Amino acid sequence: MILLTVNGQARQVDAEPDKPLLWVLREDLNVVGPKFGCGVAACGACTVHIEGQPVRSCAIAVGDVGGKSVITIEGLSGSGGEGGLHAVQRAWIENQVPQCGYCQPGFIMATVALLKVKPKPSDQDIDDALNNICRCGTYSAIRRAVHRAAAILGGAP
Amino acid sequence: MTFTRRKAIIGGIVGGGFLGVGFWFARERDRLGGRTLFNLKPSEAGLNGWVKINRDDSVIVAVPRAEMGQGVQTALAMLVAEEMEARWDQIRIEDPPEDGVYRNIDILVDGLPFSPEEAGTVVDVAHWMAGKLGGVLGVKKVTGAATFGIDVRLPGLLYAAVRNAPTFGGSATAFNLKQGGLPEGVEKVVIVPGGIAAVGKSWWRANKFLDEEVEVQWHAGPEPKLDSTTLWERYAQLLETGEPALTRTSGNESKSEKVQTLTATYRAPYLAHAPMEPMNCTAQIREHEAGKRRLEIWMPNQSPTLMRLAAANAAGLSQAEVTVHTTFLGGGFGRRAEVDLVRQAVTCALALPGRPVQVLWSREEDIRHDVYRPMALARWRADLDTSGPSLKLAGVAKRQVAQSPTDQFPARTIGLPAQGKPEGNAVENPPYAFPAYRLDAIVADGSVPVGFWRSVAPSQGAGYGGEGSWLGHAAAGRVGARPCVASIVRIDRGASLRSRRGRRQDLAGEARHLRHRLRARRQPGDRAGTDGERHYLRPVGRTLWRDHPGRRGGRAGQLPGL
Ligand code: FES
Ligand code: FES
Repeated sequence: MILLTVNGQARQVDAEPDKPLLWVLREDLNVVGPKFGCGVAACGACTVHIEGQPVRSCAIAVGDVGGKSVITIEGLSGSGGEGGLHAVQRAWIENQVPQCGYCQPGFIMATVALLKVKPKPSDQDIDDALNNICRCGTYSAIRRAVHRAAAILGGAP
Repeated sequence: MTFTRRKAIIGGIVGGGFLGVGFWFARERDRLGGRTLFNLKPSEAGLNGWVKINRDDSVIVAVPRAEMGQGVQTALAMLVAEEMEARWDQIRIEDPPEDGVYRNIDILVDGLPFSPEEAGTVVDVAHWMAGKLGGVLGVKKVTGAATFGIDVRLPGLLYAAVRNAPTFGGSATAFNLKQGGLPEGVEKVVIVPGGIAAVGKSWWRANKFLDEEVEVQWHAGPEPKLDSTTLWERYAQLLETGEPALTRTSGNESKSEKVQTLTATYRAPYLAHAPMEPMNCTAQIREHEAGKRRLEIWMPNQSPTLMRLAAANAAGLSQAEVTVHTTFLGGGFGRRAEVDLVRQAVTCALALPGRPVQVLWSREEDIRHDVYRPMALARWRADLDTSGPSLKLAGVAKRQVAQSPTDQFPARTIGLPAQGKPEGNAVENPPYAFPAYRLDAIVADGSVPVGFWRSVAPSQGAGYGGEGSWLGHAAAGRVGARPCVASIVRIDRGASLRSRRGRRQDLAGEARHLRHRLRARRQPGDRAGTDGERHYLRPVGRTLWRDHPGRRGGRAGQLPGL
């Protein structure tokens, strides 16, 4: 049995310790917000926060997450004021970022983590930190939305 | 109680509003389907196949089209809200059942997964509305609540990982378990069309099991030794001596004695679609009464009708016994109009009756077993008349070699015989007013599966990408000491000086993308129609090509004789 906290809830999992966290979330805990895109830490669709750090959950064994706190896209809503949406999610909707939407949970989780360490990121910071893949090509909209989210978090209406 | 349109309809009261709505819906009744078509529940009244109203005053709209980023759900729902004077929060969307009225006409007409024309209207409307009101989908897509195919969860769900045959068109004939049995968590190994599947409680476990514990005997496809070098040699040969499946000419080829030619050869490689959501399909077969089975499919797909047909055939059921639920699509790009996944999923479901099975391919399988955007070889030629004081472009010719998705798609999905025709969009007329134009399209056969592709014409057959790049390239060239640029730019000017009316007549009956460009041109601020052309036709085109070799779908070869 491995114990971990997912979106604030204590969870017990009976899984092989080398099973990646992504598959434990999706198969054992029915938390499907983190997406499978590549399975080799290349695309970022599976990004979650472990103890506040952004991590590609397809490449970390659940055995290494025992006792830790995991936040997924599902746990982000409600943590940031108006309408239950986080500032980053609000900025995403305002800027109509998602196309198919599949990569977006990963981008959003990576952005939330970025804004914690760099509240006013430059374009370069954004490109460096968000090296996720979006097959629909929403990169420029994402950049706009990151700046907007930074502004909201900085107190802009 | 105030009479709203909705109440008038659900209460069967004929009022002004009813007439308004009734008229609007009646006009095209044939395309709208009957009142009972749209999965009615006891509390619901159907207007037609597209809209139903619930007693709680909500309006439910059928959204049959695959949502993969165009905002279709928002657009259709908004149109209905507007027309029915419903508040935005009264509107819900639901997947309709399979029926002819929901068919994507474009697929039938053109054999294409979607067209640039559709992208023009639907996307513009959707974006405008979504910008005003916030998308139905926006919130779902940013909170992780959107259900993609891979997110479908059903009671008792099993997951299947797949290894496809290492050669195109191959299949698995037998397998051997290295450990002598199945490990915990894996319930069955199933030979599926084109490969082998391991089914179990964890996809990750099943996938690993296929890697480590299964030895498969493969039956090779028709060309097991195929490699790129051989293919390019074959194409080069066809470019010289191949018999064109289609030749098209327009304008008059000038027969001036003094013509010099510029040529360039472009290659476009095979490309995998690689939608962000790896390929998947969930199927469940159930006996609902003795001897009677029903098949349900949950799938991110671009053609539910086709999926239903393929599923019914694979299961030996009638189409009426099959239901297809279309989920959100994590990208489609033409790949999700294919039926390979539904066949594999149905085969697994048949092997485990009663259990829902979710077949999911790894990314590696996806890249190795796509239906690729065809590789192509094309030679462009510009004839320059040197008899006058300045060079004059007399004509342009293109000779191309490529496989044809239009040929392959109906053959592999519904078993129609191949027609030997080139892919329709690869042979549309160019968007330039060339004095003369000649196209020779040679269709290569071969066992590499090829399919439709998001950008449609611009990338098929080393198409307009090649053409635009070629014009830029040619404009930058010289014949003797004389630069070609003026003779090339003249083509563009000739075209743009024509009246809009004349232009439109010019385009009547022409390729769809030209109509699309024309429409785009009408909208101030939207330069989609002209930008591309100008860009290539100015010497800027040369810079573009240098900075981004191959970016527009082709890589320029040498310019002999310059
Ligand atoms: S699925 Fe984890 S990085 Fe791609
Ligand atoms: S929105 Fe489709 S992959 Fe990013």
